[in-house]
Amino acid sequence: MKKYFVLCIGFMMAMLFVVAGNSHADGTPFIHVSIQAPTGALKMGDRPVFKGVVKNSGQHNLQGLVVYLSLVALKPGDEHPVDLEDWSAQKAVRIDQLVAGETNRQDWPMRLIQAGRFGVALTVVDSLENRPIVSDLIPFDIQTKPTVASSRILPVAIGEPLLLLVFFRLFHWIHTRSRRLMKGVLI
Amino acid sequence: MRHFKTLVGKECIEEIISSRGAALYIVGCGVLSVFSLLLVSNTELSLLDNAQAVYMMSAIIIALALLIAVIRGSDGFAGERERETLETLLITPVSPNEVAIAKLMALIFSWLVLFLLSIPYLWAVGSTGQNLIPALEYLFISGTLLVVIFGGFTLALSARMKTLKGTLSIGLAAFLLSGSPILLGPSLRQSTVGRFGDLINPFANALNMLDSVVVDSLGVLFQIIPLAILVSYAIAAIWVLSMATKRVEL
Amino acid sequence: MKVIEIKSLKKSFDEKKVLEDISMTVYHGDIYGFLGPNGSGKTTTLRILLGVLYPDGGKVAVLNMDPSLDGEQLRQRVNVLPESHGFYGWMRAEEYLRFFGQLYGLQLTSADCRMRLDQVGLDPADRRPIRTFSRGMKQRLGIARSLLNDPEILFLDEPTNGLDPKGRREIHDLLLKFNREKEMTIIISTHILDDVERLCNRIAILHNSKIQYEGPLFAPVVGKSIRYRLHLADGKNIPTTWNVPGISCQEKKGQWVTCEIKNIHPDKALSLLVQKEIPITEAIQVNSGLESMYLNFTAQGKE
Repeated sequence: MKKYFVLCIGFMMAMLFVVAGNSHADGTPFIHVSIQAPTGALKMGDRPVFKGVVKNSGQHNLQGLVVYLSLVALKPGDEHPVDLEDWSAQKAVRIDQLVAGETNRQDWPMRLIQAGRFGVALTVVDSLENRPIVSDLIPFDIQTKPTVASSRILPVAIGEPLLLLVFFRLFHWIHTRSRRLMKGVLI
Repeated sequence: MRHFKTLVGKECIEEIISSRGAALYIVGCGVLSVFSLLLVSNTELSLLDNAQAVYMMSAIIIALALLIAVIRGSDGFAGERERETLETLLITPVSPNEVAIAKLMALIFSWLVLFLLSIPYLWAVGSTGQNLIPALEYLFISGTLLVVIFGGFTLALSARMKTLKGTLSIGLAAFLLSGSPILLGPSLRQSTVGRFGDLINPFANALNMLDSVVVDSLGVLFQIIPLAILVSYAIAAIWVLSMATKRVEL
Repeated sequence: MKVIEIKSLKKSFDEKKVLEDISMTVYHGDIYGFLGPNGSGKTTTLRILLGVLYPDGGKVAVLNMDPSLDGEQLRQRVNVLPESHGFYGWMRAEEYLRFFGQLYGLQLTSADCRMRLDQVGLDPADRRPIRTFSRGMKQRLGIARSLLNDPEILFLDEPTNGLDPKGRREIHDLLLKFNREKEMTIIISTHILDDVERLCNRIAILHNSKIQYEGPLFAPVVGKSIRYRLHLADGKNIPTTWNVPGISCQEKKGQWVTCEIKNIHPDKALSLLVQKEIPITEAIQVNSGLESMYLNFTAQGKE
């Protein structure tokens, strides 16, 4: 009798672990999230679309999932997070309900405004879980394209109007030089 | 046309010496400077490649040239009439036709000055990219033809109308009208009406020509039709000007 | 010799008749006064004579040329000082003369320009732009420009506008000199009757779109007298009457005698007195008949 009682308690505790949490005994989430970079070479100014996938692998429906995009610069020695302000209008989405076994796909359009090596990842937050689920970090390279060189522009943009002003002033002065100057200097 | 040299000389010197002339060039350079600075500081514009930047700058240069042509063309006869210098000119042994052609040559001189002032900007923007030399060539040709067209028609209007205000209003309205289709979206411009409008609009013709040369790297064969249209308009403008100034009454 | 002949000239603006059946003749060497109230059509007539305005009817000949057809050729031989004339304010006086000289086919040197500026009382060394000139200085410059090509006919519309009395006298002397030395025919359109009296030998009065009077400055038809004060070398032996028709002495005071001249040209009257050995050393006109003549004809025209 005692043996059976202990077995029952043990089984109930095991079931509690299974039922109470949405995770397996080894911590693997029921949510699977991934993001895919577009194929082909990417260069500055391009507007590629990254494909995100969120799958509910569990047996229970999930509500109120928040999915957001993260971007990091991966240049060795200069790794830093990138503010998506100018890169993407869509930084986060909310999935109202993800039925068990359902897969939700989102498009993440982006405008590539800098060149270099970057990594993008998708993160899902479930309010009932204390750990967000993050996709693999997908690295990608953005090629430069020849744009305007500021070192040439600044001297021209600032210098030319000033030079023109000086030129016209000088021309005007020479044309209307005074008699006093004529008598004092030229004669 | 024996007084031609004297009249053209006086108009060109007036360009440089009068504060009105100088102000137009300084403002023009100011506009180009602002655009150039935006090209390096503005996020959107800094993504443009050299060819696109050169094309956009060329379009602004042409727009400035046409604005100067319309303003100075309006002043050609109507302004001189209001300043009472036209009578003093017409009582000399010069014909109104000579005066008109001299003023048109002065408008072309204005354009040449603006073009020369623009070269440093175009070099700064486009020297590391493609098609800078063709851009300069076609900018010069299309700009000259457009100045003859807009300047010629405005001078003709100025000779017939009595007031500078009236001439300037009509000239600027025509300039805005010819520039407005360019503001339409690409899809509208690709429609039949849009394409027809582009064909008959000399301003749009010139910009399309620059686009095909600078951005699309198309050769001279593709420019024959737009050039022919511009040349036809220019001939028409000169003819209208000579008819309008055969007899100019005070 | 006729240099200008107008017959039945007509011109309307927007159905308003400005000139109606105008006929006048100007002879070589005349200094011709063209008078009329404001808006009477004087400037319109001048512009038609120059070929910068076209008549609605009538016949116009200037130096045997039709201004409407041969305007450019005609304007090579004549010149004008319009009433309202603008200047290129950025130019200097010398530049201005040189520019207009070139339009007449003249290559003026600096010395030429300086001489012409000096002639009209402007400082040749003044290099200021014209926009800084006073009204009188601009008027003088305009006169200098109008004399550039030594015109055969000079049209002047209010030539002494803006000039002080000394300036006016200088310009009068200059015009008389040109008329005398170069036989220049001068047409003066002005309101200043003193200028007309001093300069002109023939006049036309334009009023109500018609010529009300055309002829010599002093004509018997006027019927009004002119008073002169004559200074005599010997004030003691002045005869009581001088027996010259048309001249009557009014008042004697010392060596000064006030006379009334009627129905005879004053120059002729004075020369007759000199022939009679009256020792006249100075003759000063006291009143003019022109003003009354002008008012008379413009009042008649109103009726």
